[in-house]
Amino acid sequence: MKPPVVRARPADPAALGPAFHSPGSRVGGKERRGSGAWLPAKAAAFGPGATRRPRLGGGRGGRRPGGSSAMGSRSSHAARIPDVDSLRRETGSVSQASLRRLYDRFQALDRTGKGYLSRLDLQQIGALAVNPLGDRIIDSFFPDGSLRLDFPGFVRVLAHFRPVDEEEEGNRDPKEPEPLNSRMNKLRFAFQLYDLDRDGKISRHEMLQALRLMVGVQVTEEQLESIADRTVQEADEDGDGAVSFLEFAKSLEKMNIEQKMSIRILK
Amino acid sequence: MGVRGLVPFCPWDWCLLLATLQCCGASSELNRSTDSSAQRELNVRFAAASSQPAEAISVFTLDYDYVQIPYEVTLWILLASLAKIGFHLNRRLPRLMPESCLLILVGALVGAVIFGTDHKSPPVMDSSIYFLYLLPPIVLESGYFMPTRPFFENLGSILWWAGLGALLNAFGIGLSLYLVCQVPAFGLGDVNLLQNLLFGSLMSAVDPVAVLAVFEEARVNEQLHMMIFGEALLNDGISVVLYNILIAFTKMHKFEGIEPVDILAGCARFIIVGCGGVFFGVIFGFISAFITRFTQNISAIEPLIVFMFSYLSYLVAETLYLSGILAITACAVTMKKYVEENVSQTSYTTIKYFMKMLSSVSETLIFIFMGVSTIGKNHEWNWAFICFTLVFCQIWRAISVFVLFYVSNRFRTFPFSVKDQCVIFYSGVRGAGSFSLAFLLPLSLFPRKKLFVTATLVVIYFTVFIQGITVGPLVRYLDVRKTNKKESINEELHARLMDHLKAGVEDVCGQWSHYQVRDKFKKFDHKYLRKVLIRKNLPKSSLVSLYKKLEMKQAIEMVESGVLSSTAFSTPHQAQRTKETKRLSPEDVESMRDILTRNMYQVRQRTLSYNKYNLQPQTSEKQAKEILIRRRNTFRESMKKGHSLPWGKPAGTKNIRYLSFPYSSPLPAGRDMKVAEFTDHDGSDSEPPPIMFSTHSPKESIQERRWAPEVIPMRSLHRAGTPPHFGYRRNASREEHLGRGGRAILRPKPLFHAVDEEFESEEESEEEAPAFGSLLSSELRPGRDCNLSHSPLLQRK
Repeated sequence: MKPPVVRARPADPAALGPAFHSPGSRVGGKERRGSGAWLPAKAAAFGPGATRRPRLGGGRGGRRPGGSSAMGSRSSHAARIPDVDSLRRETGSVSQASLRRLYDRFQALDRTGKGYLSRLDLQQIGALAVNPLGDRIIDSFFPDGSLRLDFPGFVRVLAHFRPVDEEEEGNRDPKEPEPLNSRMNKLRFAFQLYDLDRDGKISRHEMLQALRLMVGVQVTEEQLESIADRTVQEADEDGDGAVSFLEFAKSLEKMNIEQKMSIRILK
Repeated sequence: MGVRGLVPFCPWDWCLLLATLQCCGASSELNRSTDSSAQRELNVRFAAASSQPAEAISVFTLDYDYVQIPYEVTLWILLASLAKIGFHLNRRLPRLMPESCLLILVGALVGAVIFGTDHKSPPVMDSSIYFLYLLPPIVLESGYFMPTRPFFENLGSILWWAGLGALLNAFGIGLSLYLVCQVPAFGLGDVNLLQNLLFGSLMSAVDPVAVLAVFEEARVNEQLHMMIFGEALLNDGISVVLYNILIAFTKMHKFEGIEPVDILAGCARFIIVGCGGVFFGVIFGFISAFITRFTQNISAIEPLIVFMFSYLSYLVAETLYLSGILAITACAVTMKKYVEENVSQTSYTTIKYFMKMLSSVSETLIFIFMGVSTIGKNHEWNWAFICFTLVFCQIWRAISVFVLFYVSNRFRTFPFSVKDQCVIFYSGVRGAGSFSLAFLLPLSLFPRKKLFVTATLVVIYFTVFIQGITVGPLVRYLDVRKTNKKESINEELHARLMDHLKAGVEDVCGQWSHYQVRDKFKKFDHKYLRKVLIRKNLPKSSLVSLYKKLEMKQAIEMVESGVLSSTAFSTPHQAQRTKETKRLSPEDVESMRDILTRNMYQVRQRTLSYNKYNLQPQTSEKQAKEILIRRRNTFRESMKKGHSLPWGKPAGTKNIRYLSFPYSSPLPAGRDMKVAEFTDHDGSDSEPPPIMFSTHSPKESIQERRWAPEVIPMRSLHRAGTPPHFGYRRNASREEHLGRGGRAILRPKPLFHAVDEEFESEEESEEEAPAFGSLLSSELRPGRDCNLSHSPLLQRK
């Protein structure tokens, strides 16, 4: 008699609505800046220069040869995104504007204009380099050991972080596969950051590795090991000494994953 | 008399000073009482000594009057510093209350001593001293430490709130107090409208930064942080301008009536004073940025340039009757960006610390004057006026917060929640600014100045002590997220992981701005300003040596801290582990959680933490360095193991602020050529150049590993004997080309030997962690010779 392990709980509207920015929410003003871009009225005011903006915003991105080729009017620009429609279907309704934005960003990251992203491109994002999980995050963009990340793949990964839309959730045909941004998929995405060998379990060793990445050097190895032991123990229900995905999800039952793993700008 | 020279009193003086110091040092904890007694003693003795008449040439005399002012000022500052040390020795106090509480207490103490000993305080504080010497450092500091980017992103809201808020407060408080004064029963009939308005304007100078430190740990969101900071920054300027204009009106009013034209002129003047100040500030900011472009050979004067030009902008603005405060703020904001890239690292540090120091000295002095004038007979207590002031201050702040934010929220895509507004309302702490303005009211124009000063003091004490102490708990209470504190270790860990993940993905998505103006400026900046204002080519050696220094310092720190904590904690835990892994007492779990919360890397934030009174090493910077070095470490390991690595072109990226790097440093051609053999110039992951490490015998590589910790900071220093291998050659090439700089850094060896295993354990683990990629960051060295990546997944599959 186990309780249902994971409930796809509806997103708390207050949590995702304007009150999203409660004091202490880490999200900060980040999305706020991006936000205006999503309002069509404002977006129109951008004019032809709009395509350049992501590059400036992500100023760390550096230069891209042939940058001028990315300049263009909005319509022609949108047309150049390969397979827009199928992509939208696949990734749930990532909005047109978001897609355009992402495409700009994608091109900005692709310094050499080769049409796909390599690990190197992502590694050159400044803030990622000092993100303790930077490498794992980058790896998660390259599933199954692929070396190239094309635009649909890029969007597919980012689609996990789209905020959960409650209406959409209600209207969804139960027969359809879960959208990428569902609670379970978000959890799965986080889970695979731990599960390096993809065996569906976080072993004690994997837990320890993750801890090592995330904890400062002041903590000794012994401490880390005992913490890892304890962490695994705490979540491990069937006593196999590892945390399975279901156990992982269960240990996070109380957490508002929908909020924690959503990026507003990806509406 | 005349012979009474320097020789006799100097040693005596020093002896006394030393005695004071020793006295203070001996009881190094919170020793305000001893301090005070020591000082009282001193004061008494001096009072006695200086009152003795000198009749003839004496062998031994004392001229206290000669040194009185600097002497006492020095003692005050020392006393305040010692009190601060005590304050921060206690871990809980700084979280409980803002530091201004402490300063006020110290001030009150000095005031009590002076009052008790009937000693006349030196007349240090007067209008010109305040405006010419005490105020500029404070303003400069807050302008310089302002996080520029979020400030301009929220500029509209900040201007709206800080500007209109100050005006609304000033006029609101002034007018409503005027109404109160009309009630005959209160005996305030002689306080006219202008005086009330003036009082309102000085009461509107809030100092909310004082509380920023208190709720820093509560992690208020970035917008809120910026609003409070921006208010602190602009508020002073606005209320001082208003104050000066009203003073001018009052003077005029003494002789003639005020006509509507004058009021209009006053409004126009308000605008001109503000804009003119900003204009001059920007001009001087650019000039000083331009000049620091040429200081590479005489870097010792770099800080001087910064300080003198900021001060000059203040003085020039004041000469023209413009707002010096806004000028110096604008100057600091303008030049900061360019100066930091031009000046050397040491100058940059000097500038930062000196600025903090100056401003804290100024503020300490103001608080001491406040204490001195609190305890004394110069008070006029009028219940009605004081109580109503207190009430109106709160009411008008509430009104202005809720009204102004109600309006501005309509234009914001992400409005301020009611909670945010409550916090802003509650952070309306009055501070040194209000007091100084009240204290400097000319007695000739304000017969009831004493009343104003008393009321100001009451408001300051009330807000600083009551609000300042309760704002932390309030924020924590409002912050719902923090209330369900009892998280399991799993939740704690996973939550942090998700935060990092989210931050990382946000970085991948890039930061999108919808501020066209800002983008335009950025373009303009890149195209023209940077070219003019920033040095063309930094000497490369300094670049490399700087990086080395950073690296080494960090490595030493890491190692040392590792040693410390391992001796401190490891034994009990190990015992625990060997005994029984299953049974962990709740305390152990608690301590684990504690360790985790304290030591897990923080998610990157864009507003750096700001503390008005202290310059902490930014945890984010430290953390970034630590992460980079650890990665580097891993990278070395993986390289030694013979992974083939794709090499990429350097990116002209740049992120970390504290390095003074050019925006895109042109690579010296020679360096490029040297590494060309290792560099895949296509910059792609296509085919990593096949590099074989056949010279490596397994034994050797183990040895290499043992050496690795030493190598991290020092590169090739110890490597001369080892056979050439990949890493070595790469380093050597760089070394040859760039680095005479940090070559001769010698370091006590045993330090590293002692902790070899600490590093080794880490290394071993990293070896096994295939996905812990090997990124040599391009951050620390834009234009560095290589960027590395390898694809662990490939290896795995």
